[in-house]
Amino acid sequence: MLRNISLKLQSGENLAILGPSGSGKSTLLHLMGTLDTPTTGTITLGDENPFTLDEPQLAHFRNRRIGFVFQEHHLLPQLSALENVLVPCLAEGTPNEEMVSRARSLLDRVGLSERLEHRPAELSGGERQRVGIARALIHTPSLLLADEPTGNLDRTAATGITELLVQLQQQEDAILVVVTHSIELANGLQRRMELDNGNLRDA
Amino acid sequence: MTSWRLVIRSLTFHWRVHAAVVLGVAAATAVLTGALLVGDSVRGSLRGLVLDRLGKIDALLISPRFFRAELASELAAKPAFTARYDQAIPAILFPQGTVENTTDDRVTRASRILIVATPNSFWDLDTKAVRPKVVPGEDEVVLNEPLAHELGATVGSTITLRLPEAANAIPAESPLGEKEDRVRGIPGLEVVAIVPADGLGRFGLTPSQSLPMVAFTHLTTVQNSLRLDGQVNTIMVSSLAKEPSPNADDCLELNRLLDPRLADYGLSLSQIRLPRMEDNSTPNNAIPDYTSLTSDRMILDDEVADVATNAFAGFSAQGVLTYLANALVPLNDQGQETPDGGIPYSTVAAVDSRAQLGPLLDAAGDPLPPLGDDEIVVNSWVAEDQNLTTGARLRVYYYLPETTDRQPQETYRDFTVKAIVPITTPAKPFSGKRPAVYDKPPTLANDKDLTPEVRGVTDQDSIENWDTPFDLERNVRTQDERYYDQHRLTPKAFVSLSTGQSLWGSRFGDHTSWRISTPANLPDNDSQAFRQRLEDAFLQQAEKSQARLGLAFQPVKWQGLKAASGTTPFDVLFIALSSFLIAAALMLVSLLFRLGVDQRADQLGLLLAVGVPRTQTARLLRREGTLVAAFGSLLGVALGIGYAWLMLAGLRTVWLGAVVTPFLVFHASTVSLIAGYLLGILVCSLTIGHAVQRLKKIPARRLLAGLASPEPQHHAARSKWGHKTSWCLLTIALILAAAATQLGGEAQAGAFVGGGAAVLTGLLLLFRQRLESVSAGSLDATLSLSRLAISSARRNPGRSSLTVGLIASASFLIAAMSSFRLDASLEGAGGFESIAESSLPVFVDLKSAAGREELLGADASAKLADSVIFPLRVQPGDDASCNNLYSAQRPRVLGVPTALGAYFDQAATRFSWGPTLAETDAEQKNPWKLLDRPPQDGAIPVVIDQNTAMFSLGIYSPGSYATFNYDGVQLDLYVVGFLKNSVLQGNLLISEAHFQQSFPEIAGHRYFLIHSPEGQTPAAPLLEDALSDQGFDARASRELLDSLLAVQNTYLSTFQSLGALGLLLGTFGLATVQLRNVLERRAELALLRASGFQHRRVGRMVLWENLFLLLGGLGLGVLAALYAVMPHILLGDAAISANRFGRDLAIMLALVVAAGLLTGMIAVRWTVRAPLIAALRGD
Repeated sequence: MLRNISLKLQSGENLAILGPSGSGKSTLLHLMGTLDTPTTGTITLGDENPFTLDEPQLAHFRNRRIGFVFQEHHLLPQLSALENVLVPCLAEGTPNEEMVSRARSLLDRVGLSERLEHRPAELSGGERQRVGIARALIHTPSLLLADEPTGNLDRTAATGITELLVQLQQQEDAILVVVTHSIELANGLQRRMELDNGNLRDA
Repeated sequence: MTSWRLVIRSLTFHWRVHAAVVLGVAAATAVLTGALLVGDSVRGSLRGLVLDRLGKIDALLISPRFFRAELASELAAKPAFTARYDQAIPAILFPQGTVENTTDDRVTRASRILIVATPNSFWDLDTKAVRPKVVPGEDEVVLNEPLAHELGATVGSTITLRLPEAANAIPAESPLGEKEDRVRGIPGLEVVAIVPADGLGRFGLTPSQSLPMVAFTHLTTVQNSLRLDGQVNTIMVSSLAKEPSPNADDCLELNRLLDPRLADYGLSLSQIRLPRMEDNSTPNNAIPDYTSLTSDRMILDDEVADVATNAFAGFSAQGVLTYLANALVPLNDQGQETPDGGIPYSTVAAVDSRAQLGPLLDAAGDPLPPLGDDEIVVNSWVAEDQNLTTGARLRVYYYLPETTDRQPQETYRDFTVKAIVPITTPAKPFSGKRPAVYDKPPTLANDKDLTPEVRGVTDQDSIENWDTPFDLERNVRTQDERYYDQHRLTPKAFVSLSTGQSLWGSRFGDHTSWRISTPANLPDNDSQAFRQRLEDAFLQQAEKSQARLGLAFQPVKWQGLKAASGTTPFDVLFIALSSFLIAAALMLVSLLFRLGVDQRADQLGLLLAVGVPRTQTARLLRREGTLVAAFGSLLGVALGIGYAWLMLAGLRTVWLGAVVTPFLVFHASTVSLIAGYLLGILVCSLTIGHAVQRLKKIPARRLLAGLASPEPQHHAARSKWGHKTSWCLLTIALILAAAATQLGGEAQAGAFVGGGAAVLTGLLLLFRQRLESVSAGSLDATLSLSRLAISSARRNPGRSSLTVGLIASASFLIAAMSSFRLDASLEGAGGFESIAESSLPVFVDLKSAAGREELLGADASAKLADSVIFPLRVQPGDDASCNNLYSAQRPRVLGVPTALGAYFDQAATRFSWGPTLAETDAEQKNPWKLLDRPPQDGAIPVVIDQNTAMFSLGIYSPGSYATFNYDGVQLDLYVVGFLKNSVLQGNLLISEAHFQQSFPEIAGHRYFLIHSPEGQTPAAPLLEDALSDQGFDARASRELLDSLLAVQNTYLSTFQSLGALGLLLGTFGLATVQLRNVLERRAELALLRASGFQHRRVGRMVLWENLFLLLGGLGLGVLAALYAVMPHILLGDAAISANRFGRDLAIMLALVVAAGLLTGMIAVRWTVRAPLIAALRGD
């Protein structure tokens, strides 16, 4: 599905990948997020090739180094906003005070300091996505991956989310890769590339 | 935020689906707990019956002999007894009596009745207040309800008891043993009360849940009628309330407290004074008196002889065997008998002479050297009468020592006269009780007491007055009567003890007396003290062999409670019978849990995406599942009580055949409730764990997309493999069917069912391939609503195949089980149409024409010329058949005559055999011959019905060893073969020869196999009439076999019923699958509605889909079941009829289709009620 893709990104850099449905945008994102394994070629983050790791090590790698933001936000409906942000911390056991404090801080930074105890059903679409962004950043990831993060939002909310994503990525000095249909969202990022028939080229 | 908090939040948030899982878990736990409680109830009820039927009776001493009733009062007076025990009540028990009720010249008879003769204090032992309104006095009787019902007797009726003659008699199967008139009737007993079959009203000696028939009368009634003044055969002992029931060791202590006298063993020690001179002076100071140990049964049995040998080892003692010779006939030089016929009816003593005792001493007073095997010594009277000198040949005619015929079989042995001992003729002969009086010194050979006393013989004044069981056919001469007048039965000849024992020793014993030398010239007081010394020595020695001598307590209550643990672990059995129900419930748990997981697949995907390891994610789900299981199991335990109650109700009604009597009451133990709870949690947690395990194979991105199924794989390779496998299985089915035609019984049913299972598996594989191939291919151009529904079912081939497989397996199992149903066949009874049992032994040889003529007369016996009757010996014991739920501690033993084995060399109909140890051709053709094998390591060959062996005795293969104890007689057995589904179920079958060696006391026959050719006079009614006094009772073997097979058949019905219940539960699983399908496709179903499909039309499509799976499953299952069952129907197997199979199938199909439709309707309703817009958006 993906052919001859070569891409190198530095810390603090952000990239929008555009392309029509079925072009392989999500597949590329899943590969970068280690949710899928490439049949050929390698992907490294820093000096580390995650695909040489076994299952538990890979999970730990993903937990510490990669943050995901999904179009469907995938918040756990039974948990509050604060608890949702802390979900990745469960991989290491019970979150400590430091983590709880960081979760609060992140929610504050995404503008939800007043909505910590609200459940997803009590939040708007934009607010849910903000919680999703905070959750993605809980472990200060090197790589932040966003799959159509504004796909379910209205224009105003979408703009706000785009700005927030970039702002936080810059603050955290992470790499941000966003796959999207939205030109507007793509225009808010430093680099734009297009995926067409499995080939990645500058847009 | 902790992982536990997440688990709790998830539980509460998804409570609806978890509530459904809870119900599934509760169903599984209810079935498991219910099965354990059924086990509790069976054991508890069996225990309850033991406690009820024995009341306060803890230990029983039941002796084959009668003993002094004072033995009980002496025991009760001992401080060691009163410290622990309450009462010791003397009684007479006859476990095999016959009772008759005569009304308007019609006699109603009940045989094998327990007759209980006790003092009135017996009723104080009851613990359930079942005391009769009127306790029986002399000539009165109380009946329990089953017996009164059987006899049609009411209060005021007059009945007759028929009992065996007192047991202290000469063994019936010795020549002098009485074979007739051994039954004594006690007529004119008034029924003064009828007690319910409860408490002591169901008093019985053997543990069985069947209602016993018991007649209670007063002790004196039986004592007076049987001339047993002050004698009993039983002591009943009850413990003090605070004391536990005595066990086997306690009974040994109790035995030690008994103070039996010699008379209690039926023995006596008497001082034998040698004949005195007219002036009462001692004839010869060198000739001492002696003390003689004799038995009131004429013969000292081996146990007594062993005790005597040890007890009198320090004395000058000798054993003697004196036997009746029918004739002593001299032989001439040519070895021919002299023409005058010799001397009739003389006794010959077998004894090895000893110093002081003689009786054969030489001139110096020393004992004669032992006689050779063919040497004999005769007294001077014989020598003179027959002109015999030393070296002459003498032929001794005698009856064989063991016989079942009234006229015993005669044989002879030739001897050489070694010596002639003098005998003195008295001056005055015997007269009445006055001994002979001598004017010349008598010799030691003048000892009439070498011959034991025999009532009707030794007490008669002349030979012609002898009352013998056989005819005195030989001519008794004047001089023979004169010898009898002068010497009575003083032996006329002597042989060595070993020679005598080889000729006349028998299973009843090989001594008639034991002679102990008395110190010379003891004054009377001292001789009495000497006898006491001998008695003490004997009793001291006897204490070690009390059980073998018949005076030992049995801890009946302790044994009964032990036996109440049962032959069949009903909890395990009901878990097995409910296995499909449990499987269905677990499948439901799995489906429901997975449904819940499917609904939040994306959440699980999220956890994986953010780096929560799969193992940890799975652990979170398992925790959730375990908590759900814990709660569901709690509910299940409560429901389990209801389930157990329902099962017990079933066992009391529709499944009564499995337990014979509706005796079960609900019992529940804390252990079972806890075990059921934990078991429920365990199996449900494992099931949920298995469901979670599947999730590990699903990639995170699929889960994130809301897909909870693994990646679609390329089916080509699997399809090819599946295709080959399907055809392989169908070929195997054909091979099994072909092989089955060469088999019989359960093996044939097994082959057909195995074939059916192969067909089912093959068809299911083909079905799945068909689903997969179409799902991978193109849509049909001719799309209709039903085709759309079917193609929807094909969207998830695995899930649909699982559903169809479940329903198909269930319907196959339930329907195919019919082929294992057993009906009584003549093979099960070896071709014998009737089986008879008698209360009392029958001594007539019913297998011979002569015996039948003797019993029935010439005319009637001629009608039975072609009938075949085989009498078997019986050692009473526990019923070890499937009809008895108690564990058999000592199963009944039947002695199989060699003639029966020989009969089956030619018989047209034979017993069906399971595995045997047959090696030779002859053994393989007729495995009864295995019984004639010699003992192996001391163990006797035994044949057992397979069901009895496996389910009652825990013996699983021929070649196994088993040991049982029958009141001191240890029976070591090794199993040589299993009978299959036979009417002989519940018995141990050993050869008659081994039987007689093991149970020498048992005389006569009490079990009969009867075959009368078709169209000829049936033998059974004629025999019932002729042997009514013996309580001869015949039953059609088919009827008897039916009652035995009813247990297995009822279990099959139970399995089928519970399986059907499981199938119903399985339809809920179908509904779950349907809901999952609908849930996954809610958007497209909503699209149909948005496109203008009416609710009804969408609903019909969902229903079609449901029906496709339901009918597909039922169709495949029924097809495979038909394959398994049809051969039975086509082969005309009586065990399964097309009607019955059709009926079972129709009921099951109707139930399942109805339940399936109902659950389908729920799915439809849910579909059409879903909000359109939300569904379109996929929310």
